[in-house]
Amino acid sequence: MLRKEQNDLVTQTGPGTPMGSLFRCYWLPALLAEELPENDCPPVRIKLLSERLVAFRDSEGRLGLIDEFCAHRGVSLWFGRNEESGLRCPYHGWKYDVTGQCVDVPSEPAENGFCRKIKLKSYPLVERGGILWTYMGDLTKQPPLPEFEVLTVPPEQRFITKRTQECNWLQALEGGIDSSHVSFLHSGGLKHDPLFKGTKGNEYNLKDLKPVFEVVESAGGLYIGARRNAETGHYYWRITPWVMPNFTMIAPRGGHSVHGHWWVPIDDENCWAWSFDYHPIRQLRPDEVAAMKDGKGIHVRYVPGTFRPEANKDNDYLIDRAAQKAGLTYSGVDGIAMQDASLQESMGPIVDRTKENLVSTDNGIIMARMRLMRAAKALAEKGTLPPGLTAEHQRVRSAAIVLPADQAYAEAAKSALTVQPGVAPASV
Amino acid sequence: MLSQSARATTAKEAAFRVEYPNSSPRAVKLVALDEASVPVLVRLMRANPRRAALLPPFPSAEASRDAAGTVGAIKAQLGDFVTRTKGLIAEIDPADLIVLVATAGGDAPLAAVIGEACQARGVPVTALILDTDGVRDDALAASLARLRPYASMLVVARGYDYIEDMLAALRV
Repeated sequence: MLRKEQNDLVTQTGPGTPMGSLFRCYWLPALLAEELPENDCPPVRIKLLSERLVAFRDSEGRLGLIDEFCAHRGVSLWFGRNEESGLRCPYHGWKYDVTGQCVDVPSEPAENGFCRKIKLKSYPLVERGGILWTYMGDLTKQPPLPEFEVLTVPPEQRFITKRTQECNWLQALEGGIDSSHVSFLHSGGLKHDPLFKGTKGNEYNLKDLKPVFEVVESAGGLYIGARRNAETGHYYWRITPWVMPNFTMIAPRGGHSVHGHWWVPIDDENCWAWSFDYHPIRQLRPDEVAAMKDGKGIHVRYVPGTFRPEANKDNDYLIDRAAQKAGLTYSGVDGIAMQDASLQESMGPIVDRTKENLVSTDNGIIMARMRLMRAAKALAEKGTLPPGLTAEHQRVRSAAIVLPADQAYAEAAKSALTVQPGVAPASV
Repeated sequence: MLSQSARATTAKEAAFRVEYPNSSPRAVKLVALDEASVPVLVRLMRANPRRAALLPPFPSAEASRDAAGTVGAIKAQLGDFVTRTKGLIAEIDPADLIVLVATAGGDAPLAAVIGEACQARGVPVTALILDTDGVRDDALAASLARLRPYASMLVVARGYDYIEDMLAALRV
């Protein structure tokens, strides 16, 4: 459990909050690159960390992420005309460049320079790995661009989607580091999902429903190892890394691609679930990409024209009690992503953690919360930059590996848990 | 018309969660597995006297220096410990959870004795290995290996302050 003030601390990420300041130390995924496909394309509204912004790609291909609202009368610049190197408000014609600088106020004489006195808040927007990243913090402390492996492989080796999730970011993140739910909630997926099924690791998973956990604090976050019995004298380990503040990976299965997430606050009651698949050494096959586009694995099908999942709270997540009874799905909700999201959203927009009763297997969650709170406090009180900002912390892998019973995974799988270009992931 | 889920998951509806204590206090017993962990647990008990801890005696520095009699001294002290606590089983039985606390790289001499007693009584064990900074991988691995047979959750944390965090999160 958390005390109320602790729960407020970790769940509130708006401007001026401690956790908001922490998030503003990192590059955050803002948009898929395909959302701004060409110069002068339509602008895109985006809310991040409780700030409403608009993104656009100008006539020269420069990317901008600026305050959504015109400084004149507060009109949304989503209605703007993206042309001739700027975004022009359609109400009275005020125009802004990608830095948010107003470059034209048609009602004022150009000579008086009035427009130079108007500037909207703006943040850098940079493409990396098919994602447009933004940094919303102090520019003097801007870290290097992210180095997660999925961003560094060729585009044919990765598939990235995003979806909205209608709850606080921490509820979603905690699902990503809670390995003990997999054998229950996702048991159907292990048998039937084309992106998971057919591996030896699944057999270990389904045979041993009482995994034993080892949580190891790392420089950039945590490793959460789930240990199940394998052949005599051996354990099957599934190892999940968490990199502060919001990056998680799922241990791979056989020769399937590797998956993971970034969990990004939209506001305190909604978040983006970014979901990626990649394979470090091969292109994704057409059948794999087709399955991902069809919402298999950790991806979803959408309400057309949106990033809202087709199965959502408005249709009770298309729950199918007959499929639940027949054992096709454990909860009746189809798909790994929405199995998680439906339950996390059911907790309410911001779950009241003063009422929860954690158990020993929740130590990964406990430690992640404590590290977040400590880092936010150290940043607020001493200006200490948090972990997870450097390539060293970000170049991690998940792993699924069989080890002799007397070996510690953090030591034995050290190389498997670190990015090694050109080397296949450790996977069973 | 709103679906059940849409209606139930608003902030407004969250206010109607039933207010009552939905759990009883858990009995968690902390056990220091080496000398370095003892003062940590003493501090925790001073901070909250309701916390229960088992602080076994460890071989004194004098005994350790006694090259001829070290093994004997340890055995004698362990025997004394078991006797003085009127049986380890009696200590463990009432607990819902035993938390073993060991220092990274330490030899956790009582791990097997207490771990086996917990297994015999069906009391779950969480083991914390703390203060890992500067400890060699092989030494850490040895500490883990000693605890792994008995713990359903092993946590390797850099600092001692994690114990307090964990206990609070578990409502201890």
